[in-house]
Amino acid sequence: MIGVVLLAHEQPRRTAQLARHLAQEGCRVVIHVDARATEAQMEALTGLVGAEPNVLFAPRLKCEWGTFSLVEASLGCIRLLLERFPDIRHICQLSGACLPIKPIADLHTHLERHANVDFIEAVSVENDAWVVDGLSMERFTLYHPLAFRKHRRLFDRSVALQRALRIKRQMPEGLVPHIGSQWWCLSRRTLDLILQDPRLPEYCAYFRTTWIPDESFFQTLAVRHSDRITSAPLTFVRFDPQGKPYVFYDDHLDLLLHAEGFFARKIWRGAQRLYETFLDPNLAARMPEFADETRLLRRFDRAKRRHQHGRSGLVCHGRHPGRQLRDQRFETARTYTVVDGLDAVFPHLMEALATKPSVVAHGALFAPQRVEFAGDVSVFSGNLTDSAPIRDRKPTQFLSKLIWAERQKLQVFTHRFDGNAVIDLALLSDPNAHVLRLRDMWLLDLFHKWQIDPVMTRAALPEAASAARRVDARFAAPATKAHVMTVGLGDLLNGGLETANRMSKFLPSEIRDQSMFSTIAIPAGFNAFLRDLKVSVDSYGLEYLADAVETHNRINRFLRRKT
Amino acid sequence: MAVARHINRLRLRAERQSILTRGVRRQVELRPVARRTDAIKPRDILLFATLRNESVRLPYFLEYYRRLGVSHFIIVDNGSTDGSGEYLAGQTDVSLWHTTASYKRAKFGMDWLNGLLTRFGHEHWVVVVDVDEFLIYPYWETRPLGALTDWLESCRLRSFGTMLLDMYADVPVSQTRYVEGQDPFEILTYFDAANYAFQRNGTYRDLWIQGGPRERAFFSEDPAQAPALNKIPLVKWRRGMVYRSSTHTLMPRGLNQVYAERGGERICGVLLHAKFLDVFASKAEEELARGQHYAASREYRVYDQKLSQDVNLWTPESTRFRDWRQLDELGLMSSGSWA
Repeated sequence: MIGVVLLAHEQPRRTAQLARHLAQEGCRVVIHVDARATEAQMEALTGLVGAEPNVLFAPRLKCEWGTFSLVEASLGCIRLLLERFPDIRHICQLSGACLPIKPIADLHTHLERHANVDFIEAVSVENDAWVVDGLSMERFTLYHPLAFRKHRRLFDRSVALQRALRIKRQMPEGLVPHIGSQWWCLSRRTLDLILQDPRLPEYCAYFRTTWIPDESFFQTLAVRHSDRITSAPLTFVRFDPQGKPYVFYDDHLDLLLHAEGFFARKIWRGAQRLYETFLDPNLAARMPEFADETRLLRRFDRAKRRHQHGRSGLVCHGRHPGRQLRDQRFETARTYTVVDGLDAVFPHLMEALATKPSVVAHGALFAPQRVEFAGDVSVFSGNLTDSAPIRDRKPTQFLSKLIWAERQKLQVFTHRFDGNAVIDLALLSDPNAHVLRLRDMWLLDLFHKWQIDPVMTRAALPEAASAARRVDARFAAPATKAHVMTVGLGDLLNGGLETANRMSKFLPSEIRDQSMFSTIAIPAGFNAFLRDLKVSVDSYGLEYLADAVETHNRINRFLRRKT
Repeated sequence: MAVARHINRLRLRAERQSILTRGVRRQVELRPVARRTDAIKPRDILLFATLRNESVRLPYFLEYYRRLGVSHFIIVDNGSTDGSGEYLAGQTDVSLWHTTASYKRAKFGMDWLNGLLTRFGHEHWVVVVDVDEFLIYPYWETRPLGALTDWLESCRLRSFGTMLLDMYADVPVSQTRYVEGQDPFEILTYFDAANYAFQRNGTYRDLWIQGGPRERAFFSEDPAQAPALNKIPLVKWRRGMVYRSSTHTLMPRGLNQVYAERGGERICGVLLHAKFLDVFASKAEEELARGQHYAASREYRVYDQKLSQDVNLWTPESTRFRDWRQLDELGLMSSGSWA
């Protein structure tokens, strides 16, 4: 026979349902109701249980979470069960929020097959990280006379004080602290040994001032008295990162049917479908052939990941960098590529990128007039708009949202690192950014000005050069977390294939293709421009560059003549 | 530094007290029409709303929140002339107050609600929404509101953050046809999935969310003026709390921190906004004429102008609404650590 200790503190209706079901399935049940429950609740419970001979009520104690009163309550229940029902071979401890998830007949068979085995999770405190959140060894080595929930601040102060005083209590001799879930199932033999232990009063006195003894009292004593402990628990319970048990709802029905164990904790009081299904005497017909917990555990894993890390790159009303970042730089969800300048000397580069599978190739996303989305659309994925005022209100968030919205794909866009400090800094400090940059882009920009007004341009050269150097310095700054590859025009012209190879190797695998860098286009007259600038100021490696361009032009002319 | 912080705290408290006093004082403007608040039981979830001429929307609205698990509705009728008042007075789970006082002077109805919340909301979970706002939270199809509030309480959370998600049809607003009692989201099936921006307000710690179709269609030249989309419609109320501006901001300000700051995700939901129906087009005109809305009815002035040009909010990039899991996947809400 199975005895059940049912610890209830609220939900009389659900507790009564569970007790009646267990009794009807041949269990002997003792219910302990918290002394703080109202008379009305108690009446409701006794009324609902009715005249069930196998359901008894234990004397009521006032139970405070984390204190010894819970152990006392279950000791009272155990004594009552063992006295009144001599045929009991095992006693399970359950709460009013538990439900059987297997037919009780299966539990009978299981326990008969494992007579004298104790199903209790008991892990040694010293070498196991069983505790999710909170004190572990200090539950035993410090004095805890205060109820944590009632006197939270005092409790913390008392712990701090005892730590400062280096208080270290000794366990009663012969006990090794063990800890585990309080939803255990112990054999009559072990319980008898525990209750008849002559030193029981001493143990009780010790555990009275430990913390959460309901997770250690029976565990520690079972280890002392039993040699047949199995930690395969009968109750399925999992804890969230805050140390609370996960709660089950109607939508968990299928997952629970597949769970291992005979009971599940904890069931939401309103989960009508779960109660109907699992308290149905014909539950056996609904049971699947094999237990498979993976789906359920995967769901808990996801919840845990969400709680601890969240989805990177997501900004929403449940996840925000908050006050931690003063300049509000938002992380991005995945890698993306920024092309600076190379699109000017390889005119077909962006077109070539756009043809690659799972790649989105935008134009200049941060162009002053409007956002140049791929395909030149006015609204992009998720209705991000091309409106520059909307983008410029929160440029880094715009980028973050854009990368998030198409996070299945690699996004590429062109950008000139020059003046727009906010977004420049955001891009450079983002480890997800891969920036491919043409160092001499400023010369090409200058060339277009020179074509219009050579004299003014010549005068503006020193200033333009120092601006370019400032940008260079920004790339070299230690705050730069982006992956950057910088090439010079000279490398492209002289290095040819080798440089193309290097650039393509730098790019993410989706767009690794050196044929994109095969036909370089240097504007006509660029050489003359370089020579002209060289006359006015001879520095910045213009000489070298001019020679390279000269050679390039000569080869091009030669090739064109041949074809 | 410490002094400045202390002064700031005192200032916030003074502000909260003054809002509270105003709310209580304005209770004299309310005339009880049907008072059934004695029927409220200790664990009931209550819904608070102010409305005017919403008879077409009301049946579905009440039905929706009853199904979610709201036990009692506490409603202020601001001078309806379309039978809304009579309809509400006939519902057994509605307590109704009537007023013809100025909506604008009562801080857009918030004073009335703050007063009623103080009187009846204490130690209840309360839902504070407009008649065109429909709360969606993770697992809402299978878990009633009580499951969510129980869980929030076990996590020691007293407020639940949402974003107002503007829903629209694929035809111009004036061409939609809403009939009484209908699920508005049979018509309004589309939404914007990504164009939202978040700004944390340091003083009140709330997130100011702007974006969506309204910003895109009506405020693209001046996005700073776009309406705020952050709402905190579900709160475990306690006397002394107040809504500061609409349901965007609560005080004490700790309640506004509905987001995780250290990388994790906090559970959050969405208020589906069934505004852009044909019933709205006529309403915009009327509301504009009354001039009782926020910032000199700026929003309504823009709508009126744009709606007369028969604006269509739909684009090829609009997302068709499927269920909450889709919104969760898109990052518009999160199940957080609720499994």
